[in-house]
Amino acid sequence: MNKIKIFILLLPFLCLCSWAMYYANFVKHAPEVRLPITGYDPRNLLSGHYIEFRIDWAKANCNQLDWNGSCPRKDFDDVTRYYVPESQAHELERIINNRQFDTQVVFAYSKRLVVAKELLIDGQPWYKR
Amino acid sequence: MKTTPEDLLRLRNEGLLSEEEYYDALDKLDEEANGKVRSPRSYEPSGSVKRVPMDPERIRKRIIFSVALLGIFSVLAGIGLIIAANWKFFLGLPAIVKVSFGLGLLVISLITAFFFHQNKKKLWEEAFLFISFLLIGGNIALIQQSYHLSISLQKGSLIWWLLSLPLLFFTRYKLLPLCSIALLGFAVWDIIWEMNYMLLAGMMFLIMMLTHFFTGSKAKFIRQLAFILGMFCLYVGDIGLSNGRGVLGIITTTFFLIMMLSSPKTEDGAVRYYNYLFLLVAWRVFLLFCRAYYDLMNIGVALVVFGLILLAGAGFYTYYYKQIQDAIRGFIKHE
Repeated sequence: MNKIKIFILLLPFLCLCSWAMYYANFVKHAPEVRLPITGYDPRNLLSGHYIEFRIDWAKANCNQLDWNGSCPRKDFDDVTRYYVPESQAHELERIINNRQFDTQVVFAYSKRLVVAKELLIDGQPWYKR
Repeated sequence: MKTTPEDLLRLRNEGLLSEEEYYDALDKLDEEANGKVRSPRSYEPSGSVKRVPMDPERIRKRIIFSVALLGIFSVLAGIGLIIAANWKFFLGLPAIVKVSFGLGLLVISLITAFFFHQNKKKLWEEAFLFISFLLIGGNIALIQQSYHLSISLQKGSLIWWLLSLPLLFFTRYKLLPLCSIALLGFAVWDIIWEMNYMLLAGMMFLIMMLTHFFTGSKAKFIRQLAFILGMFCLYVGDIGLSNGRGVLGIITTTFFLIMMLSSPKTEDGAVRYYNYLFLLVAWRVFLLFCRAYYDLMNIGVALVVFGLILLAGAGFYTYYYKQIQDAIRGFIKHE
């Protein structure tokens, strides 16, 4: 009985662990693609600690992986956020809106699942600038 | 000579036993008699019970408990703020390390709750269950941040609600079920007027009611609230469906409702009531499944799969019928 009880009590932990491990494994092993981004809406770019972005498909390289010139836009529809520290948020907002730098996001992409990995500014991770 | 509940009541009224000792002794007597624990407050021997003033020892314990609880919250909030203030430091760490930190706190909290559960320290158990509830929400946010997932607040709340359901099996107080209802209400708030989601919400409330039924003694009011909300959502959802697609739902739900409400207020009636409730939830799951797949081919496949599940369920139910009914009876008696 105790084993069942502890199993029930630890269920949330086990679910969260599996969830986190799934994404950790996916981010580690899935192939990467780089896509340019723009601010989603300049008036509402930042909400709390994340940047709301939109992929700039006009500038995107659609010959990555096995795309053969046709970008799978639909798969990226729901990926619109990149979390950043609050203290850096306004600076990043300015950089993305100014468009004087090349801003890209590195995504892990496999079997239509997409996870944002890194925000790059002029090819460098944003926090190394 | 064997001690009886009346002896204990007399000792309490004479001030020889504190209220807590009195209920602990009642619990022990009950355990000896039935081999299980009943709700301490629901048990009173016949005759009027004279209210005794709260003894100083109990007041002292409550104060210590409140201060300790405040301390735990303060430490948790402090850790949260330190992490928030040093976010940049954590940036260099791999996401899995950040997530492990949060999950570590959660598992410690859950195991501590279990430890207090085993030692029958109900208030401490409750405190750590509540902390675990908060930590589940915190961990969802942490995973979301670490992997930059675009999860809406409502969807996040729904995941939080689902993951915190197992905690309700342990709670004996109203705090956690109330937070759970509020969370579910918030999660379905903006989607509730879409009729299929309304039906989904109705079923969730009923499932929640069934879950609370198995949580034990003190959640009766929560179950009633969940039942009323569940039935309300089901009817509004059915009425709102276009082209008469909700008629079958309305008729069958009304049938189950009448059968449930006509169950006599006896132990057998209560068993019947919960059997109908289980059937109603299973039927509504099936209806929703059919509506989600309006294509004939899909419905055909769904019917075959559902039929096989039903047959397996019927076999299981027949084989374990007595045990299932006894289990429901046990929970009803527990009340």
